[in-house]
Amino acid sequence: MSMDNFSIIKIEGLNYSINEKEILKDINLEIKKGLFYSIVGPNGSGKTTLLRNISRTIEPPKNTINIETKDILDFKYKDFAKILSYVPQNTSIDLDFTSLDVVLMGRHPYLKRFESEKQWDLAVAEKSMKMTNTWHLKDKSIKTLSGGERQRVVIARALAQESRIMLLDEPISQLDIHNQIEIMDTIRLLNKKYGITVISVLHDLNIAAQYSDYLIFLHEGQIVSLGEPDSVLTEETIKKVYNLDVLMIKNPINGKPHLIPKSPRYSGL
Amino acid sequence: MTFEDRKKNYKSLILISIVVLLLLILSTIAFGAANITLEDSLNIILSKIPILKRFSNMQNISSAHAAILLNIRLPRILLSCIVGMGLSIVGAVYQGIFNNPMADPYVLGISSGAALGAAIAIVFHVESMFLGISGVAFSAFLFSILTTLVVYNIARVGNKAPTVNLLLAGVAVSFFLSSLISIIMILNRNELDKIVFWTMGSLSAANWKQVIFLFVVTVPLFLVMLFFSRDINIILLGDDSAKSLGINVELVKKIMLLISSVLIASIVSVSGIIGFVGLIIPHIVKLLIGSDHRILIPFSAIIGACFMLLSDTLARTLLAPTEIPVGAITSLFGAPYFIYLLYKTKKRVL
Repeated sequence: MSMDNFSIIKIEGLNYSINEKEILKDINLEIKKGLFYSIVGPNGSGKTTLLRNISRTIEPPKNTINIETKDILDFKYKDFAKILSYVPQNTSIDLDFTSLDVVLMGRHPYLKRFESEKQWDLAVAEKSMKMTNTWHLKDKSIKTLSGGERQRVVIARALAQESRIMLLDEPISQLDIHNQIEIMDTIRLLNKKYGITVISVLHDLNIAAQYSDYLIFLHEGQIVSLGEPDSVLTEETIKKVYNLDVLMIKNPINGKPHLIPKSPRYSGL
Repeated sequence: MTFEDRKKNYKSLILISIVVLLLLILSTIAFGAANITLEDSLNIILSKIPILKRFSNMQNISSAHAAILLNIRLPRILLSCIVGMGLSIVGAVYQGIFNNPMADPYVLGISSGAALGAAIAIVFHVESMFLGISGVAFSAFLFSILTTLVVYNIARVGNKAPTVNLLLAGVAVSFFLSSLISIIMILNRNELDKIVFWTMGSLSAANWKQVIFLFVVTVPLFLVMLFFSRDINIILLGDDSAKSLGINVELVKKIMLLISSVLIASIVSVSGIIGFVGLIIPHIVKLLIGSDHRILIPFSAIIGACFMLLSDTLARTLLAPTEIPVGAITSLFGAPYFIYLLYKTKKRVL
């Protein structure tokens, strides 16, 4: 971690309710520039809602989320899209666009109305697709791609926005293990090599521990723990949040924390 | 095919289809109950164009023929083109913003609203003209807009109108209004024919006023839709994706709903309810060129115009002098072709 990690996103006193039901309760959070954050926690803990608030796909209350000291509600839509990109959950696209068409949509914030993509936009799209290893798919229709390929194309689209911050909502939840690792490696590379600040919702705690600088542990709409994976993933916290007994070990390859569930019913087998 | 190649292809495809449309217009002029040759037809038209009129040869052409051509056939041909264009682009836009392949221009209940308006005007013999538009047409227009407003407000949640709500509200209001129309028809059996004919759609009463009115409404609204075509593309990826790419999704949807409603209300008030075109043409075009609305919208406009023109020519000539409702023709010939296309692409996908 470099020394100039000043905070790029600051969340203060964020509450969010849907139909009178409190989803997020008094969230306070500082995201430091250039780091990889994972939001983890059980189903219904508010992970996606938090991410959508930051991405402004749902509107947070005024003066609760600042990016570089400016309330995110004060950005123009297009200007905001130049700073922050968002890869939503479930990106199944049943449309007859080529992959390149989809990635070029990432250039929308930079285009005026009636202006079509210029050589520069094509160059950015090409670079984004090469970074995610999708350039060979450029002329293929998006609906014919496999889940892993499609996810990489959608990440390329987010990259084409040339934003400093990238949010991802469960980017690997529907992929096989090979594709999971490939996608996570890609995101990590973007984060390390190009300094993109990453905030990703992840379900798999072991993957989150391997790839993240910081974990944000949500439970019932509140941050119960925040810090480096070693300090966040403890047997006590997991028992408390998931009601599950686990054994914490160190991943023999990289020394990161790794948990092994102790299945209560079959523990004797 | 590379990206640039495809773009060039689209441009030439659109140019070709415009030429096809112009040729169709020229060739359908010579069809009709009165036997006017193509040569005479061209001479008559030439004689009305300021600079070119010295090339026309009006000898041997009866003034009756000239009148039929200029005051009956030509406005009808142009009207059918504009109606086909309008229905198709609204279909394309609705299928896009609702992200629903079954959406057609009447999905928000506009057809039954218009039919109710027309039925009321017919029953109450509203003869008065308003800005040169007949009372029936005006009433149809008014009820169309009212219906859309009602549907929108039923569907609205706060500042948004979720797609599912809109479609369901559209269906519900549609059924309600249709039952009112049935009751009106039962109670006024002597006007039954008029109402039924109106609900089946027809361009037989076409005149220049209608052509100019629809042209003035359609062309600017078409340009606005084109203006938003990239936004519609991105909205197809889902509302969240579109928002995160810098699009004010709700605003774009509202603008599209508003101008589509005005356009469809205008068309319906002139032509009655012509089904099928707005549903099928965008699909046919999509099967040919893909989902990009920057090409889909103009291409739908041209293909829709061609299709409508052909259908209406058949409607007025097939059993001449009896008119077949043009809505029957559009479905009769459009549906089998669409089924063929579906069958073909289904096989390709499997």
